[in-house]
Amino acid sequence: MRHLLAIRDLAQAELQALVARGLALREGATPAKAQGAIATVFYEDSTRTRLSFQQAGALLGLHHLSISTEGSSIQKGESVEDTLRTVAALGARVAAVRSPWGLSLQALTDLPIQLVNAGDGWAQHPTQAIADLIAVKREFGEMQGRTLLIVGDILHSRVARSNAEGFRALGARVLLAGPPTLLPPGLAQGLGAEEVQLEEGLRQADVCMVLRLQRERQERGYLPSIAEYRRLWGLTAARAALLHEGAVILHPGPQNRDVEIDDELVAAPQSRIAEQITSGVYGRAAVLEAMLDAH
Amino acid sequence: MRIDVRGAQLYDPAIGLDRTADLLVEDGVIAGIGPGLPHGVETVDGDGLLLMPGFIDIHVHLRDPGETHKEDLDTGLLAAAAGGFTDVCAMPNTKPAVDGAMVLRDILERAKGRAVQVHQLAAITQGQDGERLVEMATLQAMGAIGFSDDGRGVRSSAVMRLALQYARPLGAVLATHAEDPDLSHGGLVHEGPVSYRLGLPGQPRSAETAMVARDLELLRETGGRLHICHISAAETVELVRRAKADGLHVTCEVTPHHLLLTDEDVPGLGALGKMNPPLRTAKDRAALRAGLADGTIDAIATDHAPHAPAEKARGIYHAPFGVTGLETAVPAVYGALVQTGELSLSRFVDAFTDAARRVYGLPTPRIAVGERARLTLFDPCCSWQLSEADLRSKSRNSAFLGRAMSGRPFGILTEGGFQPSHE
Repeated sequence: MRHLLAIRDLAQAELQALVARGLALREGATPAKAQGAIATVFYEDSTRTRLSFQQAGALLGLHHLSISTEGSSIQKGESVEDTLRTVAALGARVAAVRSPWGLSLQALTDLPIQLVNAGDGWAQHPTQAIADLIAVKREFGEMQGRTLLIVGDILHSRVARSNAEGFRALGARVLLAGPPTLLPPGLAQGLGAEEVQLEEGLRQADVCMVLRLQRERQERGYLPSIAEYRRLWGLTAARAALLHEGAVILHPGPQNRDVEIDDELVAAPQSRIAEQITSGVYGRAAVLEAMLDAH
Repeated sequence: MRIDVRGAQLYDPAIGLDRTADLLVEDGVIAGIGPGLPHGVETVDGDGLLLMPGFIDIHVHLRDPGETHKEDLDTGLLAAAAGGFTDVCAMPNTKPAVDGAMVLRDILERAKGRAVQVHQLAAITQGQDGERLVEMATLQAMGAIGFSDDGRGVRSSAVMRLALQYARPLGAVLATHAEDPDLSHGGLVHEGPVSYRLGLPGQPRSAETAMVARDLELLRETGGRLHICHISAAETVELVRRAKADGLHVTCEVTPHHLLLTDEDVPGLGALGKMNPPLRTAKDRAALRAGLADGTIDAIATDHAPHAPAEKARGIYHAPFGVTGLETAVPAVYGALVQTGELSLSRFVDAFTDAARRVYGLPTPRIAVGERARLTLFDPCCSWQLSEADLRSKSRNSAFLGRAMSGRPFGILTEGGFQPSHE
């Protein structure tokens, strides 16, 4: 695997193997060793994804080069391509790139550096999906026949897109619920998923994934108010009670507590939000192993 | 100077001409048609070729002045000749825009005396700012064939209404780029299952259709002449069909890429699948083809939009909108629609000649003795594959690279002589 840009670029067996390897690492297998450095090149703010790549790289013995918009040549207008050439020349073998620009890495695959998409606009966040698949596999064993419900701003969510592709590829059913402006007609069809009423979805779900609500959605007019969003689409304790016993709650973070998810649910027994973060490190380590052909 | 074409199929459906014969051009005028003509100093073997009235592309961006790293007058007109076009209509969104006498005079001066004739549009508003009308009467008298803020469109309904009112007594055509910028806001591709799947911001079809409906209602009120550029949505075809039935003076055009491709092609094309308006769905494509066949859509026009390789290489998110089309329009549409029987040869020719020229009130030089020689030669049997080496534009951003083509432009014959389309 030279690059990882989108979940749909992976063959089913390839995805299966990455998830299995990530889970094995999570359960204590010894990571392979690799030489060189990983660069994190981030054009958006991020805490957990960047640190997660750094941790994953450390597991393999990779040095970490970190570049972000603040205080770098990026602010002087250096192009993504030139920045990637620079970190490659500095010795980075892999770059994890985060940007608000969907599908922008697809034009950069001929550079002398391997690319991992760490989130690109609304399009993809493949290592997040792998992290979530590991967390769920750890819970349920197999994905086949399980039901994933994703709630919230599907339109703008790279997490929803990558996860819909990943869970479907491994045999799960994907349900979507959200405000009609953020889950417009045709979107569910485009993702190969089914649109459901929130309550109905909660009753069916094995995994309930709550998306972060960006405050700017209200400013852009998608929502009349945050309060009404919470009333109609928030995962409240009362709604969480509709989940069957054994179902788990995920959230890609960071949470707006008491907006899209009740404060008390974040660390509740059925929450696997912390596990997503831990799985994320091992999932990314599995991805780096595969990309660097580490032994 | 005398040039003769031997044994071509002379095809000018508007005057009922369809016969194989020789044709002689003397000093830029058709001097004879028929057997037994004397040879010229240059003889073109027309065996197996269609010889037709000169094709016109009524929507091209020559980028000159201001963006000559993408295209200039020389390369743009080479691309036109390579595509079999004797005439092009140049859009005014150059830098600076064609919004005053100085820029217009400069272009018309430089375009003089070339084999491919340039018909220049001027902007509707100064600097295409969407607010202040240009001196339409002055620019029209200087030679502007019509007015357009193509590239962005006129956002304000009030300004568009004033423009239509002002243009009416001049008989001037307003060519509208129908796009509601609030609706298209930030959209890179058609909004639908494909954009949703890929996670790219989409432009809803209403960004076009709502603007078309607005402009048609304004036209209904003001009178005058409206041309709708590069229509892309099925509903637009229906709006124009009804407006024509109501007797409004409206025309419209469609591009080869909207006739041949859909948003499903975007993932494979990448930045070469990014144009404005965007490629839409199979339903839209079918409606565009039907509208072209029944004459609701008057003309095929390329919206030839050259962008330098480095600009288009920046990926679908950052690349500018647009693809080139001059070299590929005629063979691509011929192969996909005429050879397959979906579009008649006569309507195909009409959409590139008479109907296209009527949009701007231009006469079509006929294939008849005494007429100016402005002729297109086309080889309907040639099968070939489009590669970058076939492009004469300064840019390479064709959505049809690699496509198997049926039929190939052979050359143009004008007052300037015979110019082959390819080696």
